Amino acid sequence: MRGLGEVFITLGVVILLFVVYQLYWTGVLADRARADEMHKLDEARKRIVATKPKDVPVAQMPAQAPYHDDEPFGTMYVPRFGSNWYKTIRPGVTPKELQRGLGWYKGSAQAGEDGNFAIAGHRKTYGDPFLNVPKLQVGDKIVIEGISEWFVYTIDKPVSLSGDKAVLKTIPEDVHVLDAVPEKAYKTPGKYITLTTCEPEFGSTHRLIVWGHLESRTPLAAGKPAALQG
Amino acid sequence: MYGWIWRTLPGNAWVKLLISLLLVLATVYALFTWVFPWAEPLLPFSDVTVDQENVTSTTGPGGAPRPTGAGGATSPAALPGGLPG
Repeated sequence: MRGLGEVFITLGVVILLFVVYQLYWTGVLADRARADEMHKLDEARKRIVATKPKDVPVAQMPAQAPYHDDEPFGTMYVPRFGSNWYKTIRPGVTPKELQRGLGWYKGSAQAGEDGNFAIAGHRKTYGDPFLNVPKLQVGDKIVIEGISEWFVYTIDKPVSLSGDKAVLKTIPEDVHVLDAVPEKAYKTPGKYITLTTCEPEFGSTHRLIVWGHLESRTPLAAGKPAALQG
Repeated sequence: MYGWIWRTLPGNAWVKLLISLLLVLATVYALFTWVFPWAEPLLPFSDVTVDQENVTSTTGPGGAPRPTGAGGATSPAALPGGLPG
């Protein structure tokens, strides 16, 4: 009987350790991964600067290269989440990619393009990137620092929501939120962004969705967009 | 179980204590490195996308993005799978 008690205590300790792993250690891993991704982004941005003349008007900028697997293509800033909040984005939304930051739904539009630029992120664990998505409000800015350009999106009120709510709660099967013209948010085609994360914080029964439209697109050399200043 | 380990370890009480600590550290390391990462996907919180299987199946071979129509008006909703959480 004593052995059985020891087994139970051991299991209890292992489960507690797992909680520590999920709540704390995955955040440490995510911070390390982000530092690594930021380094890769810096390298990629340096390569672009080295090969391209500065001060090219946006209209003359070549179309973006397609995103490559296993290479981050941008950093996201959301002033509403605080000035210390930034996360890297890479293609793919499998657990492997989301452990390194935010993930881009392959097949959705690239940043700044016509259609819907769709991004997924963890609500909890791995640095809790999208923990505060429910706090987003209509008019908030989402800024993407790409390899050669800044993209600024403004959060819109989805046509399907009443009042001034910006965040839609839906079910995981509701993939039409990622449509080029998501009918729950917009009536006309445009250059949109969609953020998805899970709801509730420690569950996966629902998803939270936020939409925005492209407001500006400027070369990195032009400096930080106004949304990130002050 | 723990009594048996303690009795089996060599040396005096201090040596036994030291070896026990190392065993505990090794166990925690193994849990964090291999066991927990394995167990994690079995839990629901890492599920953040919409219809994930759909999403991954929209990519072409080698993970290339599927060709987009004019203006890139692709609908990721055509992706099999779902929204990741």
